[in-house]
Amino acid sequence: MTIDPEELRARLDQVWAALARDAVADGHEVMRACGRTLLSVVDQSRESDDVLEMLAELLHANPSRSIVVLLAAGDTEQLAADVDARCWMPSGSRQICSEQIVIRCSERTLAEVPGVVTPLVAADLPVVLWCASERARRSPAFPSLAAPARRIILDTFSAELPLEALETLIEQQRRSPALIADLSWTRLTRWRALLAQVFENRLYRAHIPDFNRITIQYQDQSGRIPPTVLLFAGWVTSRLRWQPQKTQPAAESRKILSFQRPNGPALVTLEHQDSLDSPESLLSFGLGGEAAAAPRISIGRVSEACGEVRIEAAGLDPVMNRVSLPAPTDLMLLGEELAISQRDPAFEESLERAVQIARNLQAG
Amino acid sequence: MSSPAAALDANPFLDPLRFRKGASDCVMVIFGASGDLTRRKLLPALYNLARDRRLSAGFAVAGVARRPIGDEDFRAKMKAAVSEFSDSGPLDESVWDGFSQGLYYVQGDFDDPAAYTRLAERLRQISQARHGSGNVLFYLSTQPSYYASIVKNLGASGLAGPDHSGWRRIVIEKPFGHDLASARQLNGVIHSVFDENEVYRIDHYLGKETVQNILAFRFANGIFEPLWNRRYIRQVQITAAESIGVEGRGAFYEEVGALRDMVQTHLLQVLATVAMEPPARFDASSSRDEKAKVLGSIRPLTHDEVLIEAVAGQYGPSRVGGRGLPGYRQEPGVRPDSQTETYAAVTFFIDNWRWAGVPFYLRTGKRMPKRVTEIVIQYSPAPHRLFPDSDAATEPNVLVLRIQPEEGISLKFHSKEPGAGMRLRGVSMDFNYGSSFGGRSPSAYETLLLDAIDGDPTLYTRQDMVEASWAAVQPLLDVWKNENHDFPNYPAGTWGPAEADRMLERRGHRWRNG
Repeated sequence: MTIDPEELRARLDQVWAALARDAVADGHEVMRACGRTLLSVVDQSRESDDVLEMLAELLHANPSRSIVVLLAAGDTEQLAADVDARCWMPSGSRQICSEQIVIRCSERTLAEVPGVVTPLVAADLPVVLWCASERARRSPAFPSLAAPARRIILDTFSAELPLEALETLIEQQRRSPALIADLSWTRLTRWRALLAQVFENRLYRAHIPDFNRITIQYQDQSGRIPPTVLLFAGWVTSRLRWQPQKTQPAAESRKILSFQRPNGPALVTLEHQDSLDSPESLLSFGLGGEAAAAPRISIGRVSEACGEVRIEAAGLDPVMNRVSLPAPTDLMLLGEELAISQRDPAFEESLERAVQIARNLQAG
Repeated sequence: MSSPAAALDANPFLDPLRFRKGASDCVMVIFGASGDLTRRKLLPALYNLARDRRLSAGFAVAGVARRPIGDEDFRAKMKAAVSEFSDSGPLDESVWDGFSQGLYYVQGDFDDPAAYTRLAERLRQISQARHGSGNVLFYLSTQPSYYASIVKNLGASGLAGPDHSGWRRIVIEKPFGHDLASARQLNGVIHSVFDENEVYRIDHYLGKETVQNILAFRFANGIFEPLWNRRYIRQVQITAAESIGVEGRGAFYEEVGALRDMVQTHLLQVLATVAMEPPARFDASSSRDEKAKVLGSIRPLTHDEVLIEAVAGQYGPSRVGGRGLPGYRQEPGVRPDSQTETYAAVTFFIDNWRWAGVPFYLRTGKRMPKRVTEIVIQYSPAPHRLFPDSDAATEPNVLVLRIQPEEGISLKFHSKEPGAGMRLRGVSMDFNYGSSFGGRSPSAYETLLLDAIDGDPTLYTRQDMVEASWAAVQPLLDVWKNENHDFPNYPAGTWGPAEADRMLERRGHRWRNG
């Protein structure tokens, strides 16, 4: 049971020759599109075909040489590979194609995979690794698999122990020359953009020193505070320059965090809600202050695809704005991450702060 | 809300790595709110921006027009327009409900000072209702003949000028004047009320992603710029062909013609983008300085040169694919003996060290075989003919920058055909914008409106650029107005008059009819 990378390369050439022949026969042009090598590691399951389809769709906006490692569970000796072209015809007479190589392996044979992947990496182009398999990430083979990657995309979404998962990200970032990304952070982009947009109005910006209350409502079936929520709290408080203090004991569904602002104390309340119809952990966000002049800003979801920003200010009618807030999908999140190739200082800062908050919560 | 003494300068929540540019709060006052441009372009662009979370919560539109309707009627009309013309899929009712709360209507005659008093009062109410900080963007989407009157009234009513808590900016649609003298006169009126840095003259071509990409292509890659000069480039062609006719706008087109409508505006701006020197920085001032400089370096044609270096055309009736196509003179609103050109081609030379002697061929036309806008850079052939048996080797390398449709870049070069001997064949190396980046690109109006709200005039034309481009076409206007053209001189559905082909043939060149 072996894979010969040279043979895979030869099969890729055959795929392209066949595509070119078909294109001539059909009277259209075929174009090879590649902007990076996208190496994806996912657990083999009944959903594997859906993941492969999602990755193929991802290529439309992010043409890449796609190498997918499907990791089987159990103590098997599986190791096999297949090559294919994923093609689409956006318009006119041009067919666009990207290569997809699928490697099926098991935990026992995962160590063989980095040697197969390295010669298949497209020259002169960045390598991005998306690791959606916790088993692969914990495997001794992971460092070799990640070695060619300039950027490693992980996902703490389903981590049972959010603090440990976030600490691992920091550790990984310290050890690896690659840039680390977390899809739990990516899930926040639209929410963060909405809040940022509010403060493009200089009248609201002027009240930043007056804010001293934040409420974040979230849902989670397993009783933890999801990493996404910790990262959001980390981002808002670090942007407001609030320093975390101790945590106040409170009801199980309600955690109150104390902070020190430049001009006084502040509180952040994390409130668990039972919401079965929300497509994500974060349900709503509120920012306000005790001072009468401070506006009250709230952002929440009104439907699966729509969000609402509401601003109340003393003596004025409230302003309400509704915007597209689609449920985040892996396709959307990966697409956003693939568009980024540099360090993400906001993420790094928020991650450090989220870990601090999670530690305080644990201590409290 | 109490007005704070000092607003913080920077928004701490911005994340330029992740968020696309947003917009500060403002009221956009659209003069000509019942017009076609508002319905087809402006409101769909604003709705798309709102939907994509790029407008501030308190953003508002105050539409100004003559019709006596109320806010609710205006909202209903705009909803119908957005449903019809937005390219971002079906209207999202929830988003629309929020967005439409910020739409207001002010009835008034553009020449009537009382309308501006009403507008000022309405802006005060809107600012209160939307928690506005006093920023106002005026947008002139009216007939150009109203521009001067509106600007004067804005000044006289105190709606524009200094002493406001927020900024004041004005966006002005083309055509900016109808010749060099009128453009200068209009600039004078505008500057009596607005500073030049508050004036945004819109040319939507400059907002197109692919036109902006010309700058990235030229100045972000090390390999092309060294070859971007008279030593390696033999000729440049800029074509904007439309397959449609005047589409019911005959009366408007009669007053404008292809030269004013396309060459003086879009094509010369594209020429400036192709031919400008690298700016020191990518900011509004440096980029526009370079564009103004190259437009000012276009050699004015003499009377005799206009006769051989420029061609006017007008389409006549024809049949294409069994379908009868009317001639321009058969279009509604067009005089039966019209002398208005629907086609214009011109050869320009740029008098500077980089481009001396390189012809820039510009052409535009209606009812041409297909809709295509492209820039063709034709390189000089290899200096030594190493493969004499191959005709292909005498063909020059061609770089094509396609602006629409199928936006992209292709480079034609020679390659050996497989097999014995040394037979060459031209092949094409293609970059397709859509296939490489996918997704929906923002429309030119979305890009440009955000820039205006954000105070970034990089993609807008400046007074000196406008006047330089009028100066370039003024000799053609002067000659053509006195000429009795033998129109129609090209059948609908063809690539224009034969004289335009001969204009290139004199230098051994020919149009690339891509």
